[in-house]
Amino acid sequence: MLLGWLREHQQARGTKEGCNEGDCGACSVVLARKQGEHIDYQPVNACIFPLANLDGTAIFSVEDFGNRQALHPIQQAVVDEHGSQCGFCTPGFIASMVAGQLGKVEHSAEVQIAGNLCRCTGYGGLIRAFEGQRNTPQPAAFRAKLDAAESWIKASDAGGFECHGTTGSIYAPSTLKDLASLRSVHPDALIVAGATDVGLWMTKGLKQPPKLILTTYVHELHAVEQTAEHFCFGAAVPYSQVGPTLLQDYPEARDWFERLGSVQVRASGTLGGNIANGSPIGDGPPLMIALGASLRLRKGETLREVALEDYFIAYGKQDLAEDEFVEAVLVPRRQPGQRLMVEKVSRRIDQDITAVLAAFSETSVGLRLAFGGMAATPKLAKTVMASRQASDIHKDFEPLSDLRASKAYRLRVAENLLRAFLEPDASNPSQEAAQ
Amino acid sequence: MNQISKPEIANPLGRALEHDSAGQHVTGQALYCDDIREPAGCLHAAMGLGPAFPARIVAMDLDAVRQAPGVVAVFTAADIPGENNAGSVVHDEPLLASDQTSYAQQPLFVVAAETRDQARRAARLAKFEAEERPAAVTYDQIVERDEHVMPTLEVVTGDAEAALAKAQHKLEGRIEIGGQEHMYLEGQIALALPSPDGLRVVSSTQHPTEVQEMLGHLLELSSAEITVEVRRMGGAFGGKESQAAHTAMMATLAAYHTGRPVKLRLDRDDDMVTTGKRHDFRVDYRLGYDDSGRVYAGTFDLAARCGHSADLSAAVCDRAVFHSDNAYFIPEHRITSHRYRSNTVSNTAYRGFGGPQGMVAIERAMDQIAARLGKDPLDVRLENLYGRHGDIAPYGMQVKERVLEPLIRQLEVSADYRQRRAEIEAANQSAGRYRRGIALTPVKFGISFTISFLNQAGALLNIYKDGSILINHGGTEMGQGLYLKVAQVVAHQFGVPLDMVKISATRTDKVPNTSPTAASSGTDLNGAAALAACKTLKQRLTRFLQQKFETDALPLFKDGRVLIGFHHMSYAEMARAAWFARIPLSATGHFATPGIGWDAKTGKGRPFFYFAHGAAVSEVEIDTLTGANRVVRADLLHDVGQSINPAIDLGQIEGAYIQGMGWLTMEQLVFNDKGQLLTHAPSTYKIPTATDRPDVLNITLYDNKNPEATVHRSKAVGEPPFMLAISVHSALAHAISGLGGPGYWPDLDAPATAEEVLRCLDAANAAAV
Ligand SMILES: Cc1cc2nc3c(=O)[nH]c(=O)nc-3n(C[C@H](O)[C@H](O)[C@H](O)COP(=O)(O)OP(=O)(O)OC[C@H]3O[C@@H](n4cnc5c(N)ncnc54)[C@H](O)[C@@H]3O)c2cc1C
Ligand code: FES
Ligand code: FES
Repeated sequence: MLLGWLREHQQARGTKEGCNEGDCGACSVVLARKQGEHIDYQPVNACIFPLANLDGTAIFSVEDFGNRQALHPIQQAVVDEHGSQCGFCTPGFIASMVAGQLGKVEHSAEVQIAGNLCRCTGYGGLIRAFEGQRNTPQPAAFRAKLDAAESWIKASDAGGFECHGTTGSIYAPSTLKDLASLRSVHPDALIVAGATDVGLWMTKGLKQPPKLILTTYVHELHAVEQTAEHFCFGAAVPYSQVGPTLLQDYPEARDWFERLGSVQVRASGTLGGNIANGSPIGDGPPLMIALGASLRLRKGETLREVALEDYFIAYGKQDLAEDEFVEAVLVPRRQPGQRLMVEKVSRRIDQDITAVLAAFSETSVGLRLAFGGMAATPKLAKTVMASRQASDIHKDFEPLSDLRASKAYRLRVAENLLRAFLEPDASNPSQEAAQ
Repeated sequence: MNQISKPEIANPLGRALEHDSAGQHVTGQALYCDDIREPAGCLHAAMGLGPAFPARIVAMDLDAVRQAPGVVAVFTAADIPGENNAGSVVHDEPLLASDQTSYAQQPLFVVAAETRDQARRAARLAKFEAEERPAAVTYDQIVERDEHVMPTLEVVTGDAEAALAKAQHKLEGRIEIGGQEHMYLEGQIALALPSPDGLRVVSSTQHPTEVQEMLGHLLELSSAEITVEVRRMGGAFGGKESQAAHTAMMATLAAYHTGRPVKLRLDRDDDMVTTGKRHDFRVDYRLGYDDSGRVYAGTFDLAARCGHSADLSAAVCDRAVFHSDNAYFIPEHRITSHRYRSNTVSNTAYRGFGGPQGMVAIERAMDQIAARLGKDPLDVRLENLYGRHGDIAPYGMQVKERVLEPLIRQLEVSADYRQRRAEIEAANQSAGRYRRGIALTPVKFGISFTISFLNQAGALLNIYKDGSILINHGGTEMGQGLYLKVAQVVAHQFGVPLDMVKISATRTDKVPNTSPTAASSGTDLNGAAALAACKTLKQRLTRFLQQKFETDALPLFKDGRVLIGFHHMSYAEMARAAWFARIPLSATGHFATPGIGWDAKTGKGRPFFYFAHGAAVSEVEIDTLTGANRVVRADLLHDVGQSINPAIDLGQIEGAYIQGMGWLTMEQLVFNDKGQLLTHAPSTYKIPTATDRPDVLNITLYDNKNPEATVHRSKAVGEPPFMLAISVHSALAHAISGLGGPGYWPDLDAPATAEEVLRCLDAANAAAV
């Protein structure tokens, strides 16, 4: 992973390891990559960022921004605002904040740094540092590094390579055609997109898959298309690019988007990966199912489309042939008069895995009530959809108790949220729910 | 050079100076243990964990581990030359278990390999033949099994039962208070550097002397042969007080046998699974009170889940007892503390050290009394404050300082508490999905180690010929700004700019026999030891200057100069002159806190030098559909005495409050029925992020001076503000309470997760009908 390369090979030890699984942000670095004609700047978690995904990009770590003689304005502001105590988290915060400046983000400082944990400070100095400097231009020395990187990123033609090492092979096609044929030749290979799931299998599970096929460089899988009927997201489009498009039609999903992982995770992770991995607690599928999304699957030259709710068959089992892959996710555009409610229930507001995700949509065609965390797969509550009785949720689901929530809680919350959607005028929902 | 050196030499004491390492933190230059370049030939170790249940180990097959790529050696309990003990107080815990394990995934062996990756991979290849042993995990199980890691403590004053029988009203309750993972961002780590001249170990520890001692027992070496060093930790919070030694011992065992440097950095999951946490408690309480809310009598039964060994549990539980009264006088009282053994990882020190758990229960009780009497809970709290009706704590110490009442009054006004409470209660009447709650709770926290002999510290002060000053002391830097505060004290003594004073890494060969940097005592003890060293050197310099200038005037050290009589010279000139005159320019200093002592047998004495105080108003919002909750505003007013560095102190208060908020709301440790920790990484164990910080957070230092003669009349600040967060828990209960009808108060346990809040919302609604 990128972090090991920085710390061991480059002896660039400013960037820290706090968790080795994408959750603490101590390893954050700034990634610069091509997005259309622009350069997209994002913080990423180096601990789960595969080196193979770095072609045609530039990485900047804390050592690059400034030095003790000439601190970067963000660094100076963190000093002035007393934003560090033990200092272990600090380089990661600085990277997230510099990325926020470069990416000209519009959301709050809190959202920009929600993927970075600090156990010492209460975040106040860090928030003030970013708010005060978010529009400050980059210092000349760092600007020069950025300019140099930008020009070669623009000129570079990433992907289209293979690596064969002692523990395995990596295939990095740059066209859909090559991907399709590689997939046919190597149906046993593991597809890797942003690696925010796959990375953990390696860093925590210590898996060494012998064959990897990357989708990162496949141009066609990076397309975001809008027609009158659909948004079409290529399977390798990171969340950071899915969000803004989707929110045009569905502003109710802003919380869903901003609470999905962190800025870092959204910069790497893809909607395609989130769906493809078949997790019952992914945040993408329930919303997509509620919106009536479908998947475009490809096998060689053959394409087929499946409704998303039919794609999830059972725990760990999807309607995806061995040599098939997800090409795109098609999301219907908003209907006139459509009502939408998306609620994520988790222990912490940000960057937490869902206990229950509820996504409800009502259009002239009908009601779609989708849930994650309630069953072995993301699923529609079909009984309730027919009866419009929130209490019928018990007939649809028999959720598990696990470390995130008990079965009783999951059912209770699901019922409360359903009631709020189905009977929006009830004055005090929780009081009635108890009766 | 830091940017703290300004041209004018202002008195550094009391100034909001930046952390001495801030410039290094933001540029990534600050070196933590893992950032030190490994010496050539350095090996990397990993722990081999046992079965996922407490087990009798019938056979252990490590062949595959030994044969794995890169593996140099594997060590088990049999390879320990000295004592196989990881217990710091009681020797009841093996470093490496052998024939049986007491909790799930207890370490059984250590692998040393050429790379860390190889060591981690190899460590998973062990095969065990194991029989499952019964696991006592839940309160019901540990109470039924009734095994104690340390004897029960009872502190009694008056006749609680008789007074309860007479009381006008009685209250009985039970609260469960969860534990807490430290989640220091830098995990446990040590680098062992063996050499024929002795062993040097860089350890991320709050207690270098104890690591040195434990290594001595492990290897049968004397302390003089071992040097333990720590420049800085990436956070500790108590988690590196006793248990940093385990990592250091495993690394050193491998270094001892291989003769090569060995680094052991625990992977986060291994760290969380094998190191102790804040103790979780179950408290059963009874109080007797009258119509005014005044409490006359009480009994508190504190059941602590200590884990499989004693570790620091006795002292932690003692402190819980000392704080189960928080700020309130209870004339007839009986507090009982049981220290139960459980088949889980051994719980340990954590910021507040039992104090927070003690306080949560009495604060719940105050709220309940108020609810039943239809009063504002603040009035019940005020009615019972020490000083109103009495000032002797159940353990016999007089609570002299009268800080809390004026402090609370000040906060009540500045936070507009009464008005906001009225508005919230009115708004809740017609609330839809979201309800609010507000609470003001105080903190009174005793400062000193309750183990009296720990209240000492040493320092070493060197003045070099060029006048630069090096101060070294036994305290460790974990981000709390201790090095800076002590440097401020020393710079002030010699009237020199702060950047003339350097503090070097804490090392057992410079200052020996140190106490842990814990109990918030770092500055009180080490600052005072540094002061003592300054005093010694200043006395020598005074004598020298008086002889040189033939005067008996006293010198003045100020603005980088020394004035004596009509003479003056620069401070640096004086240093050189003193050296020429063969004056020793190095001195040690020692400090022992005066007048404290406590007898565990009688339960009486003066365990604390003084108390630190504070109070907080927190306002919360809950989502009645899901139980999700957040703090919207908090106002904190805290007593740090006369601050040595307000920026550092404000930072401690803010960080402590947020950490306390996490403990009482979202941070939940989940164990399965075999005692295996399921929340073993930050993916499943959630500490607050920036978005959890209250939208409005006002923090003010209360204007006060410590009546005790501490350094600069300051007060300890590391732990006390942690408990300001109890106001969050109380406010959450307040938000729920209105649903239950008059007199109702929910049995909200901690942590108040969304699930727990929803449970209480449902219970309140059910109570109302
Ligand atoms: C810190 C952290 C926080 C997270 N928070 C959230 C959260 O809040 N909500 C949430 O839902 N998820 C969360 N996740 C999970 C993860 O980010 C998502 O599941 C992500 O969308 C996966 O996308 P990826 O591109 O990283 O997939 P990868 O890890 O690259 O792949 C995931 C799986 O999908 C398969 N795959 C990928 N692309 C294709 C394709 N085109 N065709 C077929 N198979 C494919 C891979 O083979 C693999 O099995 C979090 C992860 C981390 C590390
Ligand atoms: S080390 Fe924690 S996110 Fe990478
Ligand atoms: S300063 Fe210690 S974790 Fe942030």
